Amino acid sequence: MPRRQAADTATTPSNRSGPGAGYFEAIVESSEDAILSKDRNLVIRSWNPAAAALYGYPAEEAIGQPISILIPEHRAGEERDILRRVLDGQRVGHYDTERLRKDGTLVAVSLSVSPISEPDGSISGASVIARDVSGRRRAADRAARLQHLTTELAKAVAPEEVVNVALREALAALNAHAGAVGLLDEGGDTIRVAGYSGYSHTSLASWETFAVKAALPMSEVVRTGTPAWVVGQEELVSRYPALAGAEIKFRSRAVVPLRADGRVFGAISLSFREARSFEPDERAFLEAIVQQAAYALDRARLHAAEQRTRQKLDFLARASELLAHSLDVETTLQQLATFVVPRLADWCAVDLLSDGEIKAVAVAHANPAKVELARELQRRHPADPDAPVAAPAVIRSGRSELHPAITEELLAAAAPDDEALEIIRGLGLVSAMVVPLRARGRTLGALTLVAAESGRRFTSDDLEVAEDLARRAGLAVENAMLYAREHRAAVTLQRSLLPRDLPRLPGLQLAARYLPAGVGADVGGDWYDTIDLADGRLHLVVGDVAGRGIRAASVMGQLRNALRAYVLDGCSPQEAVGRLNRLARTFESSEMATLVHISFDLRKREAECVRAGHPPPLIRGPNGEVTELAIQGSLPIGVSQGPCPTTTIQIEPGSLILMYTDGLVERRGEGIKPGLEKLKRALRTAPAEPEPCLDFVLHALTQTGSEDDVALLLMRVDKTADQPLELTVPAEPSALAPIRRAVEAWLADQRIDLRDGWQIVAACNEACANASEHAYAPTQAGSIEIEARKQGPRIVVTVHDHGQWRRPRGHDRGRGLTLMNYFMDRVDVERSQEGTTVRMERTVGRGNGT
Amino acid sequence: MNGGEVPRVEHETKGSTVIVRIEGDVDAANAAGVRDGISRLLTNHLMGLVLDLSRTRYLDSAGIQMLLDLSERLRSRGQDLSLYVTREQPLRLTLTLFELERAFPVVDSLEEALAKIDPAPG
Repeated sequence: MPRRQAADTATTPSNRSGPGAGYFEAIVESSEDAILSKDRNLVIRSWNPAAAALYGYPAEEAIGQPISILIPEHRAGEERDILRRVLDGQRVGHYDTERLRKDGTLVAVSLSVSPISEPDGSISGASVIARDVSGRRRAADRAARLQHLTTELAKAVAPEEVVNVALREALAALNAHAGAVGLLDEGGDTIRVAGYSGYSHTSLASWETFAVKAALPMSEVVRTGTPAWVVGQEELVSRYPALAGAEIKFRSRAVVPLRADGRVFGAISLSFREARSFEPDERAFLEAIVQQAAYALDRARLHAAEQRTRQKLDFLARASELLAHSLDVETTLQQLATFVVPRLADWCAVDLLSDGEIKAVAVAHANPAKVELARELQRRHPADPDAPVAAPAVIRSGRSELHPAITEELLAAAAPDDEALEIIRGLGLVSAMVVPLRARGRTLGALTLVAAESGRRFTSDDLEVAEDLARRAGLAVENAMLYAREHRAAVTLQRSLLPRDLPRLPGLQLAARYLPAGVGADVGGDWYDTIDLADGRLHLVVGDVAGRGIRAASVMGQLRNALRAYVLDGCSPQEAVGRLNRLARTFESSEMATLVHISFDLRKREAECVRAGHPPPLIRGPNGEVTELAIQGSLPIGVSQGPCPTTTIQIEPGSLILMYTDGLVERRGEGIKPGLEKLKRALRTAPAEPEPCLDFVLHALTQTGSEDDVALLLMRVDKTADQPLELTVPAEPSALAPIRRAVEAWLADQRIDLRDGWQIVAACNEACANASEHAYAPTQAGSIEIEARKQGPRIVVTVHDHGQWRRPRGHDRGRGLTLMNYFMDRVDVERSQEGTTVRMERTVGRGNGT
Repeated sequence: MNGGEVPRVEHETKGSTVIVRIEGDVDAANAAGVRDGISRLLTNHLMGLVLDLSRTRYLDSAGIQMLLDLSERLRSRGQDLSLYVTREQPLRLTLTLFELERAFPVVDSLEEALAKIDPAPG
């Protein structure tokens, strides 16, 4: 076998003669593999130049030495195994192991060991061919590393994660001591350090960002797109003078560009403590790693940007939804401010320009106490409209402000005074942006967003979101303002169509109200009307045109005027409503309306009533009982064909008649019934005087803003004036309520002001309560006589019982008498055998409180 | 003569406060009944009671006694009482006469009345 022969020959250079000896010797001498031989005693006998190169020992040093000089301690047992096999005549091939160099380092080798046979067949030693396989080992190692890197990068989603993985792997690849990843900013002229390792924080602080055009390794690499390999301190300083003195503990540097789609977007830089060169395979390996990282980083950045865009759109979409929610400007803006916190900022405030003044309309913070503080601040220290910064400046200029960091100077410029400045300082504001609310080229106000607790610093990206938000808010505000204006116009129109003054007639009192629906609902077509024919008849109308808006209001105007004309023409309610019906059918669009029309004869106290599709009026009789006025109904105006029936009703003196539209009693989802019951209850306990009576009824029924407009007309039919009230009731507490009602009604007949009247009723109530409690023994039935009369400006009330007066005591503790004395100008208590008489008087119409 | 009128008493619980609205008149015929009805609503976990008198027209001396009884009862249990009466209501005169404002807060909005119930006992 040639190989074996070659080995044989090579291992016995000294005693070799014969034809091929020189030839083989030349082969051995020039072999790239280390070739050596050892005898049975494991002493090195021959040693070629490649062996010298591999192990570091020249031939003269190696020959004669035991082979163990090449064997690392942890491989000591190996040699015996190999020897045993060789002495057995076997050949050992491609034995992968490690050997020790003269300098103490290990080298990976692949050994082929063959026995050296003597002519007598005995084995005298072994030849060894050793091949340096560290290159191969490294290649396998690197392949595994790249594989690992790819897996790790695939797992990393966020750009920061990718940066960390890339940095870790690049450092490990070349055993670097420190490294950094720099990324090009959006603008393209700064590089920002996105991750680093091995540098001290202080040394890096000054390198957080640096210019692309700077004379620095990373800048240069980003500019040129070619890697930089700097092998020692000297070269480093001569190529990059800016680095002189900085980080002297690192002598060598490798910087490789991050590139995707042919575009350089950053670089990875590695630093080494030792001065070292970079072999081509090392360079290629590092470049391969960086390339993998570049792809991953590019993908991650795209993904993150996409996600940010999606979040931004989602945020803006939700904000838009919110803005579309209400037509009330301040409600809308407060909702917006609350929505923005803490998504975009820790504080949000909205200021609107109103008649040339800046008005703070909304403020939000996660902590309600802080909101209160801010409101207080706004109340006590209103913004200076000439302030050079913040909302006033933005409202003036229409241009946004971005303050990535809030400085003391900025606060001082924004604060209206020193006290406010002190409070603002205490809020720990970090960063701010102020954007104009604009619509149709007009600046309506400003949206202020401030970061505090979160420590967030606003960027141009955030400003973009804020501006987008402000654009949408501006439009919403504009819409709401337009709407409010239209709403006001419609309400004004409607009011202008309603009678300004109610007639003043002897023997009856009138009160009326029109309430537009709340903001957010359209104006409706409700109306009321009174027509005094001066012939002893008064016409009362309450009606409701279906539909909303200015159109309904104008139809209402036509119907009202037509009805007036018919009435003035001498029509009865039945004739007038019949003609109205015919008129309504001539309208272009079929408008429908409902109404109640009453013609009241003042002398006869007789009401002639027509009810077309409208809820029945309520009547409170002199006894306080509330019922529906039993008017036969017909179909609504515009629908009805035949004549509408008339109902004539006798009205007792002291009655209240309440006409209303369904907006008062109808509630969405409830219908009319619960509201009607509520209305009846309210009317039962309402004051007898028309104006306070309507106030009371409205307070009871319109607790939450009505969705519909409401028209109300109330008529009170007086008792004959100047007639005293005379009343006899059982002496028991259950009589108190009817007594109050009766006295109140009588006082209303006398046209006594409610405040005077209430106090007189209250005093009378106490006198009667005393009488019912104290005058008679519990088992004794008795009665109380009440008399009230008007003597000029004075009201005199007498309460008489037939029992024995006892001093008020017990649970009442004399409060009753105190009340009487407080509410009346004079109280006399007269006791006699016949009973007790309490005489009280009060001068009315003085207009003072008590 | 029909029997004495009974005011409509509605209640609603807001957090740990109960709001009682009295609609109608409180007088000697019904004050004790109203008081007992309200007392039944006062469970131990309540922070306090808001009496909404904004729709009460008359409140006579028996009504004053009812308010003082309730106030006393609540005080002994460490619970608060506040009264909502509008500015325009004449019955404010009665409350002022007997200095009820010194016994418990009398305010002119429901929100304020609710705010007067101390959320932190003691």
